[in-house]
Amino acid sequence: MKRRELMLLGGAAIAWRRLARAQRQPSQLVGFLSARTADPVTDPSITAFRRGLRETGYVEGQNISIKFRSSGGDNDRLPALAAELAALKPAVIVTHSEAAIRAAKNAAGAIPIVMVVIDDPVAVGFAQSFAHPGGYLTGLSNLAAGLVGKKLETLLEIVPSPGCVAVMRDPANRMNDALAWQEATTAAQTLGTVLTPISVGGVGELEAGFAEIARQGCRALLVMASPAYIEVRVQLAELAAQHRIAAMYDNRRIVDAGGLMSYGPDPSHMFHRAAFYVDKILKGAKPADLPIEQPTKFELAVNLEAAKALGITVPQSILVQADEVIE
Amino acid sequence: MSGSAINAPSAGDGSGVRLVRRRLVRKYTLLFITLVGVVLIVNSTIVFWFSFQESRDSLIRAQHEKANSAARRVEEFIDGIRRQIGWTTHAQWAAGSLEQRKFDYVRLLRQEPAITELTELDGAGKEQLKVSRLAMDVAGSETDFSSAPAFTEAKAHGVWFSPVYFRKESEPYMALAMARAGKDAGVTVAEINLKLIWDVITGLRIGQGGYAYVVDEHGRLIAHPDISLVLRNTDLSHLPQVAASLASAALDPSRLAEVTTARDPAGRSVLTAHAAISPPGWLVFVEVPLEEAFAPLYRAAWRSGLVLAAGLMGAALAALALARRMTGPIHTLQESAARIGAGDLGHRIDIHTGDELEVLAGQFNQMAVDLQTSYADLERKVEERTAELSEALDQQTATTEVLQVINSSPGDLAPVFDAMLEKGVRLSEAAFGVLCTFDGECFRPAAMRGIPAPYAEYLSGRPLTFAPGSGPAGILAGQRFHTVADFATDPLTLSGDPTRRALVELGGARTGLAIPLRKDAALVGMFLVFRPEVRPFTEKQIALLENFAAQAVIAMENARLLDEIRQRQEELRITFENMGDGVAMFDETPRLVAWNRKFQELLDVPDAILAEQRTYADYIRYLTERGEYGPGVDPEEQLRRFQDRAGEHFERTRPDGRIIEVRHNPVPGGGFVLIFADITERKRSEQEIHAARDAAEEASRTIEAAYRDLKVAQANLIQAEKMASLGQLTAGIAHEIKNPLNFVNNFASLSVELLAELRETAAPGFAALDEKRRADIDDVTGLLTSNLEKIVEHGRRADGIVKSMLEHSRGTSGERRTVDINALTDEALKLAYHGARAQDQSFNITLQRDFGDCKAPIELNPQDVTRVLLNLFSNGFYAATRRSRSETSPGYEPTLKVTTRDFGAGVEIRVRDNGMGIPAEIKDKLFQPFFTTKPTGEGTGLGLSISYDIVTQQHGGTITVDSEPGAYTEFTVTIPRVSTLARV
Repeated sequence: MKRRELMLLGGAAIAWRRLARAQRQPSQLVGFLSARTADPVTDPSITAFRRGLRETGYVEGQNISIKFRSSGGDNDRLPALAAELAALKPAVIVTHSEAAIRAAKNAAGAIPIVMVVIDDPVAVGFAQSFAHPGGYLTGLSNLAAGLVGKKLETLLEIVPSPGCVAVMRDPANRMNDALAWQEATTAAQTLGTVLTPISVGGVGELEAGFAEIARQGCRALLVMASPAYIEVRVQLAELAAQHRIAAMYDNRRIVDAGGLMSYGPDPSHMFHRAAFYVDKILKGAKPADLPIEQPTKFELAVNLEAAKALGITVPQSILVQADEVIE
Repeated sequence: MSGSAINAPSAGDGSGVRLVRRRLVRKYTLLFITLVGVVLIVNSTIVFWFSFQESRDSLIRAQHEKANSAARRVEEFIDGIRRQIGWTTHAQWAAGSLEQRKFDYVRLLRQEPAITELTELDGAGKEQLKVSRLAMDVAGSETDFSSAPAFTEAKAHGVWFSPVYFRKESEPYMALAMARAGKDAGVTVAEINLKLIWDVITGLRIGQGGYAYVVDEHGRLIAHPDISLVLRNTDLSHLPQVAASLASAALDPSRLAEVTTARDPAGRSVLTAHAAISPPGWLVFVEVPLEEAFAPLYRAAWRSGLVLAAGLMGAALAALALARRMTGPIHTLQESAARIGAGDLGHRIDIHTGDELEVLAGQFNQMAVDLQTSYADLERKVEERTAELSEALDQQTATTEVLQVINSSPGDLAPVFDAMLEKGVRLSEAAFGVLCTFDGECFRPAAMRGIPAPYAEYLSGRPLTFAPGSGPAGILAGQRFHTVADFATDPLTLSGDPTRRALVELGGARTGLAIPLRKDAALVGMFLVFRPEVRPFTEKQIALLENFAAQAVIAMENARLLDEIRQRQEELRITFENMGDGVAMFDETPRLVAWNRKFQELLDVPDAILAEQRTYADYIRYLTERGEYGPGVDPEEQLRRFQDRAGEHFERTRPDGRIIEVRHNPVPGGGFVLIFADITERKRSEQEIHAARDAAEEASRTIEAAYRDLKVAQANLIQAEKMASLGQLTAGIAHEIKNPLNFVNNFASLSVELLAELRETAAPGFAALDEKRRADIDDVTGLLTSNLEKIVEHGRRADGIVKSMLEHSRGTSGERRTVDINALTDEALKLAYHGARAQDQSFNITLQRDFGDCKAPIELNPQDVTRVLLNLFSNGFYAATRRSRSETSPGYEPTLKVTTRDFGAGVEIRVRDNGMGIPAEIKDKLFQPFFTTKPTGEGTGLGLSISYDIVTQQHGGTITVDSEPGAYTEFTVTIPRVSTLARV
């Protein structure tokens, strides 16, 4: 009964193939390094990232596992944490903000790194070009510097004559920050306003920073992009409200926490996109060949409550523009 | 039905049957399966084929549609943007306030996420307002864009799509410029982030693995599910489908998209369709992996395959079952037939299928029954036959034994007859018998067996007689056989014939049989057998005895022949042995098979060697080693030599000196005979004959020579006689002439003197005469004087001649002396030379002397011989000198060569001159008297004649001449020491 055997064999072969397809490679390790407190369950960015992983077919615990390390805002801890992660020999490390990325780059060696939220990786030196990063780093840019002008313009629309505009800068993001400051000064010139840089590295320096702003008499504040500020968003918003300063942030979480407004790409979206980068890398793509994405959507979030508290009437033009209005 | 069933081998019966059983089942099974299978397969294939085509077509259509829908979606997207922008392009819009316009733009940006930036260009192409998501808003910059294609093209065509460009190399953008309505209206330019088309594209559901992507008119990827490809600014114009589509799109944008299989950017095989997105001139490609595209087809095929397989399986099973059922009865038949064939004839086949098989089974049964009966029949017949055969065997054995006896004692008939009679009597179940020979007159008993004593006694010493009417008589009369069933009632017995009565009463015979022994027609003997009881002999027994009779005849014949042969053999052997020549016969091997005594004796070969009957080669080798052919001869060489000379006959000398002649004659049938004859005597006789012949020849030659000599001598004799007579004549004449001649001479000279005196005396008188007279007188006197002088001269000449003649006839002076010939010759030569020089001062000749060793003196007449030599020398001088005068060739020197030789029996003198030579016709006349070649007045012509006389007659020698005209003349004088001729 040779035919019967043949059929059985044939059937078995097909089933095997199907089975093989269903199965993926054995569990891969992903390292996640954060420069601020990032709770894997509640942090919207991380949940977005994990959602993205799920959507690309990774099941945590089965074919992927993520190891989180966060510095909680303390940038000095970053190198040690990065080394720790690197020692676990993950297949890829996901990280964000210039300081964390730098630490990861120094510790990771040849481990691919997905940069989420970096302003201009080419200028900083993490990549050769947007289209072709080269090296082991790729990821998503947030065009923070490019938006500075717009942010300033919008801020000035709300506060037409602020006296001077304070610019809160995080020394940890020195390169990006430098670019952003450049943009800001150019825009300020065009807009005919005066900028005052305020250096705030972490929560300890917030009070002092705001004191400085008050002393300078700036009624508008432009907060640069930094994870440190997200870390201390609550205090930041409070202090801004306290000092009656209209602040333009880059991350809507700060607006959610009480900040006046923010303009920038949606970070959740970026972290979601990061999952696709991870997927690509886990499937064998080289970070050198994966182009760095620029954000497409930019959100203008306005907290009307904060505006009311500041006694500012948000003009219609802003409201029309706003993507998020928080009552 | 398979014939092999019945012929199944009995050994290992089960396996053979099983093997065959399988075959039929297998055959039928295969047949059914093949039949059904073919039908199924054909059906499936056709159905599948058509469904495949249909599926493919529908697939392709679906692809088309997908491509088109994708294109439409993209077009919709773009249209959506245009519509949105359109809100700001109506004629009055530009008239609005800056705030209003900004507000409109901001709202537009809000509504349309794809637009990143909006720019208002006025009717002159100057930028009036720019609102951007990223950059700061700009109002009233008045930057001149009037020459930018965004402005010019938009104004020309109403809408313009810029080529795709990348911001920061990784963000695809396109500018969309729309002219505003109204007179001198400007253009609104929107920067569109094409990444948002990506959403449209990824939103397209195209199967599981299918996807769409968009390329611009240069083949650059604008949108792709894998955004990173887009951001990398991938150029897909290398893909064949892209290239082809671009080409065709360039030609005819409205052409329907084709669906083809190609490789996607990642290299997999895909089914690709494309559609044009017309406003911007892009192409959207919808690609489905071939596997997925054809998945349904494969599934269908798989299904068909499964169904087919199942069908075939079912067919196989059904076939097997059916075949089994069909072949069941056949196997029953087969087994039963095997059993019957094996011998179980009582077995009956039991089949009730109600068809031909049952009929066949019935026939088998019938066959078994028939077999049984015929077997029984056969057995009976076999028994009968066996009895007959054993009888025949007995007889054959008897015959054979008789023949053996014949063979074992050829020529000796007694045991043969005995054996024959014994067997004949036994086999014919007779009591006793007699075998007689017949020599033409009477029967003689050759063997007797079982004769009862009284009868035997009666027979002994009595010649065998018979009476007419008896067996022998009948045989003699020519009967085939003669039998008497009952002697008691036989007429001959009753008639009281004593022989018969003895037979009956003393022998106790009641039945008798007589069989003749005939050789061709002649009777040579007789068999007689008798029984004491009355029981006729059966045909078979008679035949048996006849058989024996024939054999007896043969045996007798054989004996006779053998005898003859032996006799001949003996005669031949004696002849062979006593032949005068040695004979050795070799068979075809060749091996020595026969020889005679003479051979052995001739070649001195010992018995032992001959007895070995060696091969020819061995025999030659043996002889060679023994030295037969001479010392140190190589046997192989010798063998080869003999082999070369096969068929010939040759002679050779044996070491013992005898000469033998060996003849080699081939024998028909291979082999050859060597015949050796001792020809020593013959040889000797031959030699003697040869010697005698040679002697005879010698003698004849001698006689011939003598005869020739005789002839010569005869000639010489005649010549000599002639000469002698001539000499005598001349002598006589000379004598007679001498006197008158003297007178003439004297008176002539006297007359001359007288004339002189007269002149003297008349001188004074002449002086007185006149001139004329004086002259005349002078003339006359002169004439007279010369005439007289001539007379004197001629007279002297005649005198000379007479002298010579006298000399000539003088004959021998008898003065012979022994002289040294060389000295004589030399002196004569000198004499001649000086004499010639004395006569002629200008005479010159080269003299060559070749004097041999002539020490022994020879007896001759020196004067005469000297005369001869002088004559020869003067002739030679004359000839040479004459030639030198007329000779034209340079370097000619007159030469005279003198040669002397001593031959023991005589001496030889040659005189050779290199003069003109002597022509052949003159040679014969040379020695004749008065023959000369000199002109008149010179020579007498007697010289050679005299020389000839002197040499031949006086000395008994010879004088010959040899000459070549124009070269030389040679005179040869031989003078013997012993004269063979009597002196004259």
